[in-house]
Amino acid sequence: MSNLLSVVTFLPLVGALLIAFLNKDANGNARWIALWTTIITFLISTLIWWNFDKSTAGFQFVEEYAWLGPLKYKMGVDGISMLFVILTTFLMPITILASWESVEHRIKEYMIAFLVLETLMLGVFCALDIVLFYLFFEAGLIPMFLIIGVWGGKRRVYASFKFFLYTLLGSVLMLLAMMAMYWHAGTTDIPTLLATKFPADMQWWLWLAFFASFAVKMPMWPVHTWLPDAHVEAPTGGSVILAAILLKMGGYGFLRFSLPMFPIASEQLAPLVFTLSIVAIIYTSLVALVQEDIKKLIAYSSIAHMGYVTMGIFTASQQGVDGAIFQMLSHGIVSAALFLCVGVVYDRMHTREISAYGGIVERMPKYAFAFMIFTMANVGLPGTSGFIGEFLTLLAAFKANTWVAIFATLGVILSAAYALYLYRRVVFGELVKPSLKALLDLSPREVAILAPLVILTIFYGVYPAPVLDVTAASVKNLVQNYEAAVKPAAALLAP
Amino acid sequence: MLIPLGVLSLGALFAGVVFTGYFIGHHEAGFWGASIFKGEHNHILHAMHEIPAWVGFAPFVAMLAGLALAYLYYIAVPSLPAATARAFRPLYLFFLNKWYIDELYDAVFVRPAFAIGRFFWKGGDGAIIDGTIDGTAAGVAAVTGRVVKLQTGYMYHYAFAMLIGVAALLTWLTYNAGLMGGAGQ
Repeated sequence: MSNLLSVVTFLPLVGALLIAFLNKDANGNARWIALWTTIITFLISTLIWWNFDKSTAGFQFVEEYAWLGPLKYKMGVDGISMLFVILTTFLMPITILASWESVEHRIKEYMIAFLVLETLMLGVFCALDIVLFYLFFEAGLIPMFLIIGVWGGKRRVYASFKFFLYTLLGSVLMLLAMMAMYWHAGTTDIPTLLATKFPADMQWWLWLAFFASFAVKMPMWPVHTWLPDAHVEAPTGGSVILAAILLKMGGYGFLRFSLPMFPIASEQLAPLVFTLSIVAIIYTSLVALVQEDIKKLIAYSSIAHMGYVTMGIFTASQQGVDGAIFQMLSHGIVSAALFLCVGVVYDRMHTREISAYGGIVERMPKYAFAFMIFTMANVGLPGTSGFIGEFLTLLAAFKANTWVAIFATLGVILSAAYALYLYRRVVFGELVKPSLKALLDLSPREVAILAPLVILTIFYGVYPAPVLDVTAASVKNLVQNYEAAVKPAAALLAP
Repeated sequence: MLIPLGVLSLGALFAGVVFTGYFIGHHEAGFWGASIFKGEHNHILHAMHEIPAWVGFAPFVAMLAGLALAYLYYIAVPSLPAATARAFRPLYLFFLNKWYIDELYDAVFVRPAFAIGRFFWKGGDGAIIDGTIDGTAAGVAAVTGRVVKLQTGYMYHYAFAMLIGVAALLTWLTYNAGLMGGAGQ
């Protein structure tokens, strides 16, 4: 019981090892082992949710072992990280199922890459030591680099290198900042660092260094251009994990490091983040409007939605941070689902050009229904999970800076425009193209993939409490500490 | 379909007769109770009841006029609509095209949004951001491509480079030492 987090984190790695020892052409077994490993990992992770104490803000399920000199292997979760662990373990079986038939070569290696990636992603959300965090954060690049580079589309090499170099550039600065933090505080332990007060001028540099890493990961404008390329070239499973989990590491990083450890810098640099968020929301929404490739459109829409997340986080208020976390979880479900929807038609037609479709509702009514639910959630319509996060972040922004809220609301209109425009061109209209006339509706496997996502999208849109209850105590603690740290600084500046 | 429509038409015809007393008549105070707030001297709901009778009949008369006109246009003389449209052509087109609101909307919002989006995509993301990044990559490759040529492998090239370095170092040292000596005196 006490090692639950390590078990969940490393179980996928065990699965990967099992697959590695399989016979060369045991592709069926590789698939089944991957599926069962991820399902069992998910089931064990629900134990964490079940036993999670919502009333406290502290870290739970903490494990600590000596590792490397001053560095420790220390794991634990709080209200902020817990749900990301569940989101990861929940989406993995779906991703494996989605790759069941669409991946045709090197199936063994594909499954190994995904299982290793799962271990590394879970490690990021559970690590309570900055070096351990860095290790998981950076190592995650390797499997994703391979997934895009080996199983990707035509320009996969360009896309995978762009993804890798962009992200690495930011992360190196973060590594430098971590060294500075170690020499200042004498420890790499995250709970201790959370209680450390860094001098204001040092906070600036540390904040900027961490920002370089998380802004690329998020991604924020103007360092976002790796994402559309990576999404377009990645196989469906890769896009799902990229959008649903990897992007969330940036937001999680802001919440775990930037806001609580460097509150004074966060307060002073919040206008910068607000500006970049608004530019992201409006600029990328407009770019999404003119896309001709379905995946690229959804990728740009992801960037716009992450704008709400950064905006919400840096209001540093209960609603803003709650909303940002909710938006990340909701986007994790909805964007994953949208990329799965693209995968469904891509597997049949082998094109992502919007103009190649039209009127497919006649052949695929079930698909049209699922796609509609996710389109609505992407727009942020009330009754879907997309609404809750957007509404809370806008509410917080309105109080922090009304102009920010006004501009950000413009993005809501634009998101309706590009999402509905996409849906109309793909699903409605007359079915005239001969190639579309033989389309088959969702197979039972595809229904099994999309159904849980449809249910969650609507469930959390109507009843968000299960998420907000888990985050409440930790977010409240975060906001209180932030305000306590910012107030004396403001009082010093005032006279 | 006929039965529900019949029920609804009964309501349309007689609802007013049945409920007028409750809505704006003698019983309005009791009917609305506290659900509508009225100022102390505000008797509008009651005053509505005491309007002249012709006001009450006006909608009915208007309806009859419309009925007569519709009969004239579509049953008695069916050629009249086309003739009217010809006589008032600009006005006819204006109404036919819904005040041109859709066209206006298209010109003011839709086209500019697409144009700006395309500009941000090709110009912003493509030329400026990716241009800078791919340009940096190409720049590094170009510079290293030239720097690499310095490594010729000839001993005398390296010796010459060292000699230049030694000369530069000596110059710098004597120059600095001279200044320091000057400051010391």
